[in-house]
Amino acid sequence: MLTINNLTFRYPYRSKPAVNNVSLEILPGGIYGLLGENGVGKSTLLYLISGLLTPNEGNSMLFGVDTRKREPQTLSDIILVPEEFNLPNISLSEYVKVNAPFYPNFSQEILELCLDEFHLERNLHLGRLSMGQKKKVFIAFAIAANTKLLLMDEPTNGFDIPGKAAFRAIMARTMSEERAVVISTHQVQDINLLLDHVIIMANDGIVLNASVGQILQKLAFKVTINQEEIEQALFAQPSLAGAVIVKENTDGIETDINLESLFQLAVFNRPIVERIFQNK
Amino acid sequence: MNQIFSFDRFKLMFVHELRSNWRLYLSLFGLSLGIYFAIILFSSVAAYNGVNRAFSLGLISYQETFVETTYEEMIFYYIILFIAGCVVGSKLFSGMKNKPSAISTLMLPASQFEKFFVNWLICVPIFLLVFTGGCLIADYLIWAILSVMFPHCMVQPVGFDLIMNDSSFFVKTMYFYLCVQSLYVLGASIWYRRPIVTTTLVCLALIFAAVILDAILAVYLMTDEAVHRMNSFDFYSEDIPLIAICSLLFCFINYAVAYYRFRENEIIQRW
Repeated sequence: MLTINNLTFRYPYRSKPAVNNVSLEILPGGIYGLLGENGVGKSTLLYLISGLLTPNEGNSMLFGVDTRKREPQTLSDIILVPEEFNLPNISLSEYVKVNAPFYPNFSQEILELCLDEFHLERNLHLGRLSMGQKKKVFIAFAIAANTKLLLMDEPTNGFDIPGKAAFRAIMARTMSEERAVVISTHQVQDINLLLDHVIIMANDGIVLNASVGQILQKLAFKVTINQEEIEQALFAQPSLAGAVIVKENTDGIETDINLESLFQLAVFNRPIVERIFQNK
Repeated sequence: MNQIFSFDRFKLMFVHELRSNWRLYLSLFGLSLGIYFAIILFSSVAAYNGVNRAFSLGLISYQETFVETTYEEMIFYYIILFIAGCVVGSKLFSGMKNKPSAISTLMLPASQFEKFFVNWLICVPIFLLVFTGGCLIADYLIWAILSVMFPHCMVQPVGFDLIMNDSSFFVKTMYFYLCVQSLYVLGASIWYRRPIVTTTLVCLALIFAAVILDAILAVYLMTDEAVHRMNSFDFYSEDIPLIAICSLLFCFINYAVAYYRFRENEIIQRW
């Protein structure tokens, strides 16, 4: 569906590329988590995918069309929920009336479902909402637009705890086989059990690009107090219940993924991750 | 699906623009008409106060109470049209003024041409028609108010004399107006922040540089006799077809460059 080929982007007057030679394949039916430290270019990558920036090298093709061309057909297949956004000073019903016709698969039913999950009224005015409420409305609209590709940059930033739970519930209920979702976030606990695929970025490109299934086949995550296990682990982090460890999955038993530990392992022990996943 | 222009998408885009930004357009259009209305009403009331007093003292006859305001209204019509037109023209790319609004603008599923064309349509021809129509309505409104306020004076509306009193002057001024406004449209596509101030300063600097260059060339390259013989270009003494061709070409180039800049735009400014 979305193919990213050797994408490189430098901001003007900066020698170091913000996105360096990234190649990815995004397939329909999956929720992709885009993780990385601050400043590694996660948001920039989403802007490049959306065609909002022109790459120095490479391209991003959605159904074979370069997204930088910003063709109406391509734009009606992509919706981006940026970290900061503007909503006009009008009522929600008016907003839906003027924006929904641009998205041929827009579903009023899904919009109402999302609003209900977020405990938002249907007759609200966008000019009178808090930033968190505005984000909920925008996410509800973005999901209801039913585009083939949904890109979200830090979607749960500014959400209260029920809001984060509602977000997870909505994503789980509205996901379809025709749609791909890319979520860039630091709030890994918010999306821990949602993801089908994990992409971890570093300054010089992609460190890890694997499905959750592949990760759990090769790695095991657990909490242990066994000192021997802790010492042999690829990564260990002390916690109140013992240590959270990541080790190679040698016994073939799948555990639950722990994105935080995986992220730490990938960033601070990169050669091991590259060896296990045979990136290099 | 046509990826450059589709009438259905254009209609959606037009409705989207008007419904999302109706407050902005209403305030811009309303403010310019309101200023025109207030100035003309104030000056007319002041003028009719004087003649009304003179009439009540028996100093002048009823026929002499008529105050000719056509010229005055024309002057204010053109001044406010030029200022408001440049302000409205500068708002053509207001959707690109910061990153969040640029994202909303660029991600809307319509072609860049449709987005530009809808904004151009509202800020250029529709504004001109609404403002001119509004001024004509304001004139009749002022006439009604003056008729009530000064029942013993001879009050007449200026009506279409506002624009057709000297139709050749009107047509030429309109071309001149479109040229000036197109510069502000072009300026708005280059400087998203403070486009009015920046465009005005750059235009003044260019005019100043041209005058200086002209003077230097005249002094160093031409004899005194040649300088005296030289005819400078006078916009208002030329024929309308020549003015029309030159002006429309100038406007078209400005609009085309502005569109090209908008089409190639990103959420960052590269310079």
